[in-house]
Amino acid sequence: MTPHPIRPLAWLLRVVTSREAANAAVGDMLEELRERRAAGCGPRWASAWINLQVILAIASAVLHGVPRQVGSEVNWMIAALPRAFRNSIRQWRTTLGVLAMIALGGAASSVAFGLTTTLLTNPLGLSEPERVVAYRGAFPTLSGRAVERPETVVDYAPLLTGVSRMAIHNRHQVDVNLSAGGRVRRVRGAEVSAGFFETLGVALQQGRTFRREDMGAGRNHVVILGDALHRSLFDGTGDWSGATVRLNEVEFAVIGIAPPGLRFPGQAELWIPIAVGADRIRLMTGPIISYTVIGRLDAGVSLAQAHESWTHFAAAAERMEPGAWPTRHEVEIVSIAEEVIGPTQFVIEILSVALILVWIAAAANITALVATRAERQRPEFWTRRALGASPGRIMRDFAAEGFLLVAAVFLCGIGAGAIGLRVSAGALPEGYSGTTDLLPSGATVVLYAGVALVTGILAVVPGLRVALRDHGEVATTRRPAARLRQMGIRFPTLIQVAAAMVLLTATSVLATSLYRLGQVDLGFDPKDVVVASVVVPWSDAGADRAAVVYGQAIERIAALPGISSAGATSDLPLSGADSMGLLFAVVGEPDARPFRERFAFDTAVTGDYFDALGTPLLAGRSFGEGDGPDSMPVAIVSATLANRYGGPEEMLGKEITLPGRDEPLTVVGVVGDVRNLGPLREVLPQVFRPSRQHGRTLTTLVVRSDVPDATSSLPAVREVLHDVAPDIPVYDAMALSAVVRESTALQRRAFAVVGIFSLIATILAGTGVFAALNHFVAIRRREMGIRAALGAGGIRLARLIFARASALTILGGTLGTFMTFVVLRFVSASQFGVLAPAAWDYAAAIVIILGVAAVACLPAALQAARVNPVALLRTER
Amino acid sequence: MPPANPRTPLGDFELLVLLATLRLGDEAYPFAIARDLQARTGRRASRAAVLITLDRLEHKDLVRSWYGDPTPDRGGRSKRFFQVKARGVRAVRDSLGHIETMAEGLERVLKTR
Repeated sequence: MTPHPIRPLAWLLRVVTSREAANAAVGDMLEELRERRAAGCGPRWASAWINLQVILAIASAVLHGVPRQVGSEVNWMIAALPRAFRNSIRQWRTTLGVLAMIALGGAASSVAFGLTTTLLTNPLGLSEPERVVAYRGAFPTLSGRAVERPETVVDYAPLLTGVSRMAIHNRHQVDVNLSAGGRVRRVRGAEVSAGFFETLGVALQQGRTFRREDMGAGRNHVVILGDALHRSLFDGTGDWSGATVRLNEVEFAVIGIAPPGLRFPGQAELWIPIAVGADRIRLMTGPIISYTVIGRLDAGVSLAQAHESWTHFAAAAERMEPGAWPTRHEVEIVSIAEEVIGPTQFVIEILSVALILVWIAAAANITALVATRAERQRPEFWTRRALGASPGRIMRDFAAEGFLLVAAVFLCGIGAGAIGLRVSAGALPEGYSGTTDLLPSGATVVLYAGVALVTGILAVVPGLRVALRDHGEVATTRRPAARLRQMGIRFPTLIQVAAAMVLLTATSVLATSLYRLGQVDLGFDPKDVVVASVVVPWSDAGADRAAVVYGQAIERIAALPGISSAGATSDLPLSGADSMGLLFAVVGEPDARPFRERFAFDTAVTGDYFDALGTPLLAGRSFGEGDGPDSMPVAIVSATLANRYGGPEEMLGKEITLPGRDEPLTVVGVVGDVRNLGPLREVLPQVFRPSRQHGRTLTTLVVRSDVPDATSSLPAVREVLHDVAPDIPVYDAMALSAVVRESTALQRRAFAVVGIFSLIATILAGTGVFAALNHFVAIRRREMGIRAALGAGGIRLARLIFARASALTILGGTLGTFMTFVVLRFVSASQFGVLAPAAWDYAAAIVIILGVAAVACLPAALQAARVNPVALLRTER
Repeated sequence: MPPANPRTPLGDFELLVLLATLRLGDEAYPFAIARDLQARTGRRASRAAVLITLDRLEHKDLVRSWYGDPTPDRGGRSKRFFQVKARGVRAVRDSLGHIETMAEGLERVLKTR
């Protein structure tokens, strides 16, 4: 048997030469190999030498043997190119149709392929994203109010086999007010440990990364700027040496610039070292923090191996320091790319399925169009055959056309893809645009080459079948496929209709789902409400300044004309803020409830927050002036919490305790439930406290107006805030309805994607029906002429065409319904609020397709209705 | 491709390959020819180069080739044997004659005697 290294090349050699020649050549090589081994040549060198020999043999075969055998064919094909080109120009309608299909398919696949590559393969712009993992799980030492020595996590790495570096970052975004050049703005920051960039495998553009000593108290005033922020701060000069920036009024020295595209974690624009001790709270909106541990695996280490290594380590550590480590079941090790992509996976799945369907429809269309053209050219082929042209000659003509088609598919695909990518850049989730090359990538080009080749071959085959049939042979076969073809129903068209049916059903399902999401009662009324974020940094003055700023702002804004109420909160619903969940207990109530039922969001509010948000007060009172820091601690709870303890009225006067607080809170009011996390998420109990009795910073002002356009009050709100605190930036000032809309962005994105693709597929199906029926009329003209001559009216003939169109649509629709069931198995959509298709969705899809088919068959029906039997029969020979 | 002109003078390597083929007689196949060339002239010739040359010579109608029976020592593969045709022998003789004619009187320069 041929030694393994030679085998693949030898096979190739056999392809380019003949079987005997390749066998003899390989025999020579084996002999040479044995001789070389006998002479002391190492097996690897001997194999390498032989492989080189095979490559040379292939090259020589190509250079000498192949041209001699097929040179004339190639020459013929080249000679046929101008003819194929002329044909394409002469039949410009078909050519345009083919090009349109290709452009649509190309644009669609570029968009999908580009987005998929960006989102799936490397959403973070890292060189080896598969090696970076997140340790998802409960780390008792890394969350809570007091994090002791978080930097020690970095030291775990040497204790874990297969892990080269470890680091931690704050799970929550650390937004800070950045003052530079006399301007204050809000920027997104990330709090990370030493070794963070090394763990990601990222080299800084300039400067140095964080060291262990940068995490020490008082020494942590250093910052690494993101590329975009660096450019905007230093006006593109790039000279940052010795520069400082003020973050929340604290001076930070710039020590490095991150590479372009890096925005991890979250949408970070700058990175600061994790600080310990009192320093850190200057940068936080609250004292509770939670860290995520990330690790860099050695090359070739799998997630399972990483988990196993962690299990061994945790077991040993647990023995040394009980309770400080997660047990093996609590830690999940996931690829960081997967962690970041998260729910976007859903859109990608939808995108991929839609893309496949559109390409299938486009390829089917091209096949049908070329077949129709070949059918029309049939008499010409017969004439040429009769004049002595060999089948090979006609095949070469088709090959030339196929070549032109391949070139067109390739070029149109790339061109349309580039345009499609630019247009769809908005479909990317926020922040991904930085890492997307908006030109088709190398991989896309390879994909196009493959698609072009397959399409070229697919398109030419039916033409060849027609061209190579004997002179004037009439298809007398009784095969079902041929019968269907005679009826004007062709498989490619059925596939197109089916693909359009699947996508239209999906669009209808997503539209219904979106509508239902919009109807979900969020527990507040976003109409006529505007919000604005203002974060007063923690400082020595601490919460006092925040209370003063918000107190003054709310008082002045409430007095503005057209404003009905104003308040503020620490956690705006749906804003994505990860609210602080705490385990509460009701004094005097048994504590036997499951863990999840004793968990509540703890939110600080002030002013007329509930009025401004439009949340109804179900019992008791709202907070007032009397609820100050020195008065009785009070709380308002949500309906879900109250209902678990006897209802709103019974809940009044009860006392609840929260961790870290000895004095219980007296419940003075009960408000309606608010869907804090989104329309699809469960309602969790909520405890509200007056901000003056709460340790947390207020972050968002909520203003309700009674004028028709709520956003018209935004300039006045901004002005008041600027007057009250000129050094603090106002950001995310917008209508609350925009925040609500943003919470269903993922579903809307999926809807947009499927909508666009279903539009493309429907156009393709329409052209498919058009082509099929035109073809039907073309091959049945004679029959129609006879029918007309025997007295059939135009309407009767047109009805024939409509019947064909209906049959096509209904058969395709049935196939599409079946395909929808199959496709649904691959898309995990229910968790995103996407409903299962109902009869209504199928009906809507079939009605649209029937409408499109009716329009598409009109030209053919008109053609049939206008058949002139006399003129037709006169031309028949 | 037009057929090669058999009267085209032989190239240097073609001449050597033809001579080796003549010398090896019934055992002339590409690898053996390459080995013989290296043994006698010290000139390293790859099997592929020899095969290309033989193909060209066959195209010029100077040699003929056929496949032998498969042999176990070559992994069950046959050899492609070559044999110099009469016009090949004539071409070798002509080339050698041309060389001798051209070398005449140059013995002292070439120090061949």
